[in-house]
Parts: sequence; C-alpha cells; structure tokens
Amino acid sequence: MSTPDPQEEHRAAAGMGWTGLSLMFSGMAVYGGIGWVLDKFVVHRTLFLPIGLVVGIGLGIYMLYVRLVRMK
Amino acid sequence: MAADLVLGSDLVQGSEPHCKIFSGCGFPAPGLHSFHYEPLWAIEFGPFALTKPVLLVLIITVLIAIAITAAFRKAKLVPRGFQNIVELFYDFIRIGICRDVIGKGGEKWAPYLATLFLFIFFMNVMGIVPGAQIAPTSITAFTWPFAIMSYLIMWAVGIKHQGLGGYVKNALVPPGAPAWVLPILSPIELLSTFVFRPVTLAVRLFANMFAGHILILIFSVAAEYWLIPHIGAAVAGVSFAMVLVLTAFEFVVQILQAYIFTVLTASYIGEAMHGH
Repeated sequence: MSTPDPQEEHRAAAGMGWTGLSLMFSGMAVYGGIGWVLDKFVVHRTLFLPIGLVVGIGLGIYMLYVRLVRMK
Repeated sequence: MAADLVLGSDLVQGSEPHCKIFSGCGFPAPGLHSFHYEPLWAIEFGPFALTKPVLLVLIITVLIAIAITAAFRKAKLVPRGFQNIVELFYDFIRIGICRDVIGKGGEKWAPYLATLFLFIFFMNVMGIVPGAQIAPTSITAFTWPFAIMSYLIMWAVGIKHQGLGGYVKNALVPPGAPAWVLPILSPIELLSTFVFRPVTLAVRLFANMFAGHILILIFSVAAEYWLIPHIGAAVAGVSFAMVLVLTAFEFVVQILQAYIFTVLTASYIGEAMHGH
C-alpha cells in the first residue's frame, strides 16, 4: 500500500489504548459467547464460558500486538 | 429556581442548610444526582424539557453560527483579525487532520470536522465557564448523537467507496495478522469495528467530562464543608487550591478530548475510504 507515513502514524497514535480495550472486549464477547452457547446447549456445565472469555482476551491482546508491530 | 440556574442541583442541595463538618449532616458527596437538572420555567414537551444543559447547547450553537458568519462578512483575501484566527483554526483542521489523517479526498470533510471540533470543544469548555459550570458532554445523552453521526458517516463513506460487500470484507481483515489465523480473528475485528467504535467514541468523551466534573465538584463541596473557624479554613483553602489546579487540568482535557473525537472520526472516515 502506498499510504504516506505521517498518515499511518496519526491513525496509530490516536486512541491506541481504546482500540486495545475494544479488541479485548470484542474477543471476550465473541469467544465468551461461543463458549456460553456451547455450555448451554452441548455440555450443560460451566466449562467453556470462562475458557472462551480468557481465549477471547488473549486473542484481543494478540491482535493489538500485531497491529502495533505492523505500524512499527 | 434562579439558584438552580447558577449553581446546579447538587450545590443547591448542599447549600440549603449550609452543611459543614461536625454539624452532623455528613459529607454531601456529588454523584449522578449532580448531573440531574430540573426543567427551567416548567417548559416541558412530553419527554423533552428545556433544562440548563439543553439551554447551553442552544446558546453555543447560536454563538458559533453568529461568530463564524461574522468573521467572514467582509472577507479579505489577506485575512486580518478575527477572520485570521478562524482561518488559522480551519487550516489546522484541513491540513493537520483532513490531509494528514484521511489523505486523498479528505479535504471535503474539513467543514464537518471543523464544526464537530468547535461544537464539542465549546460544549466541553462550558464545564469550567463560571455561571454555566456544566459541560453538556458530561451527560451521556449528548455524546451518543455525536458518536452515532460519526458511525453513520463511516458506513455511508464505506459503502460509497468500497460497496457494501467490499467494505465489510475489507473490515474483516485485521491489519498485520498472518493469513492462516484470519478465521479466528475476523469475528473479533468485525465486532470491534462495527459495534465498539461508536460505543468507545461516545463513552470516551462522556467519561472524561463526567470524571472531570465530579473531581471539581468533590473539591468544591469539600472546601465549603470544611469552612469552619480556624483549622477547618486551612483544609478548605487547600481544597480550593485543588479546585484551581483541577480547573486548569480540566481545560487541557477538554481540548484534548475534542481533538481526539475529531481525529478518530477522521481516521474512521479515511479507513472507510481507502481500506486499512
């Protein structure tokens, strides 16, 4: 992509912290949700909900890291 | 009612019996009730009421419109005076935000972003202006329309420039991630872009203004609470000094939050136009 550098820096700088938070929340929501559905309809015990939440948070942090690495 | 207009409902509650320490009333702590305003002059239209924050927003709107129009009434090619200041500010938005953050095709968003910045900034500043002393943006109902507008604009620009399918498909790809991990990360990226962006826009602005207002309230109420003869006056003095420090700090936060909201809106528009 031929986007100029100051443009990327501006986009990266503003709100990176909140981006990280929203990525973690989204991860929790998606994988916690999948875990909750599994719990309710397949396993019938509280097992996958906490696993899903933790996995979601981890993936959210990974996405934030990957995004920062790409933006130098 | 006049006291309500000037002091705000929390301080009116505290100042009726002049609650001081050691007089048995307990510290009249500020809270959510401090942001509740009764309608002025009993003007109510169903669920809508003319309260102090609403009145402030109306006054700001009129003042900004009049001021900017007046600045360009006899516009000169080489600007002087107020026209110069407004042009400086507009160039800051046009070059510093539109050109740098959005890139190509960004400058046509300068009018909207300049208005957004001015509007949010003046609403924030009302929090420290004597007499007003409540930032309408510290009430959650006032920040959500801004966030929803930015969100709708993001969608409209994305659909116009990349088509509905293309826009969602590009939004599915988290920047920088290797291809094999895409199916796992895409739902997170989708939720983060389309659900949490408007939420964080609204909540960030609201929370910063809310917290600032609560801080100033706590130290102001404490200054009055402690205003008993001798030792109490020293504590009250320290508390009031904190109010001054926090007011200055709050002014910086107000400018910053207006800037951040505008820059993030521009960033989302740019991403909708050009993709990651």
